Amino acid sequence: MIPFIGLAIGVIAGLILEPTVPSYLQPYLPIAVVAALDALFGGFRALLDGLFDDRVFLISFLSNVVVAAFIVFLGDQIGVGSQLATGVVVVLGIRIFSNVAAIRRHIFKA
Amino acid sequence: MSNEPSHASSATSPDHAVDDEAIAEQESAEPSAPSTRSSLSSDETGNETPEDNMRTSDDQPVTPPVRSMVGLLKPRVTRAQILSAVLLGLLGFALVVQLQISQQDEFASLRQTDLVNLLDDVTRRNSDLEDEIVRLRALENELQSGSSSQRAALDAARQDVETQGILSGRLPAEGSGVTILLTEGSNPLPAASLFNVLEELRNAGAETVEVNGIRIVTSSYFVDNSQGVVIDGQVTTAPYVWKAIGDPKTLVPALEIPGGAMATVRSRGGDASITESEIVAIESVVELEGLEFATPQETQD
Repeated sequence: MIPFIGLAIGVIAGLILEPTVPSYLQPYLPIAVVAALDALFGGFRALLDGLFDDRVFLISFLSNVVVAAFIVFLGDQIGVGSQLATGVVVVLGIRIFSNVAAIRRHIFKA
Repeated sequence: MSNEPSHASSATSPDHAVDDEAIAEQESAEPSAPSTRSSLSSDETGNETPEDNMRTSDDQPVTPPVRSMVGLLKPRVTRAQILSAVLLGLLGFALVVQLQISQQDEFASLRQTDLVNLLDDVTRRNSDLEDEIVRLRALENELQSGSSSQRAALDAARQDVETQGILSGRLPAEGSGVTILLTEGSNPLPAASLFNVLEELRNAGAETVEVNGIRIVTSSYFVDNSQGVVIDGQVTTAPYVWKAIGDPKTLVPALEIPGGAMATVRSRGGDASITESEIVAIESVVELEGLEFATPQETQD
């Protein structure tokens, strides 16, 4: 319950504050969001597996975000930013799919 | 699906490894100090059985995932729940911010190289269009000059047609000129006298001449007849009304010259009077017959 309240608070804060993201961060925000989504689904899957650990969730969440953004940043520096961003999104998307598949098996037994 | 088990088994990515570590950690931790969640789950086993039975099929035993979900939905202030709340809050915040950025400006999330490519494209397209503008302008000028020269030629031709039409007697004409009234006395006026008048008029620069409603052209002739005078096949008699378009100041002295046309008419007992007018209208026309022998000379450019 409390996590969903936290999610709602975050969404509302984003809607109300409407912060302006610095231009040097703008290319990395969508990648970070996708990475965070991946960590979220991974954590949910671990919860259903009975393996959830808050420390692991925190670390995987933060490291996912930081590593994804860093990969894209590195790509931008060496001139393959858009390709690496695509690659990161593909990889994270595959992981999200497999996590969701595991979650689905837990919930629907199918 | 056949590939699902392979998905689950081929969990070799870093996060799964982390999860595996977590298993190890938790398994090692449990004997000494049971984790909050496992103790929480065991607490709830007794309390939540009816609710669990509502959620799962009656035959099946209550499975750990369902218990975990129930635990997730329960508002328990634990470290895991608060941490998850903070992280989810961050995620929701970032998601909303990103959505707003994406909706505000389609270029905001593009990176520099993409923007440079886009700018290049736009610049190239711009120069292409400018080239086309220059090309079309040149074409427009060409067409306009062509049409204007054509129009000039058409105007010249139209004016030519009018001039030629008046000179050949095909068109009615008006302008300044004189009206001459010739009456005869006891002796009839011969054709020669009338021709004399015409000669004088032509010498004085008359451009269009008419006698008793008969247009005089280059091929006109005067023949004596028992009734009067035949002009171009039409018999006409005195009084002769001449209309001539030309400069009156030249025509009148030419006609009144001593021993001239008017003097000849008066010497034959007739009467001649000349009226100058600002507007002399000559309505009569002649039908032109096509040329039988003469054709235009071919111009050599």
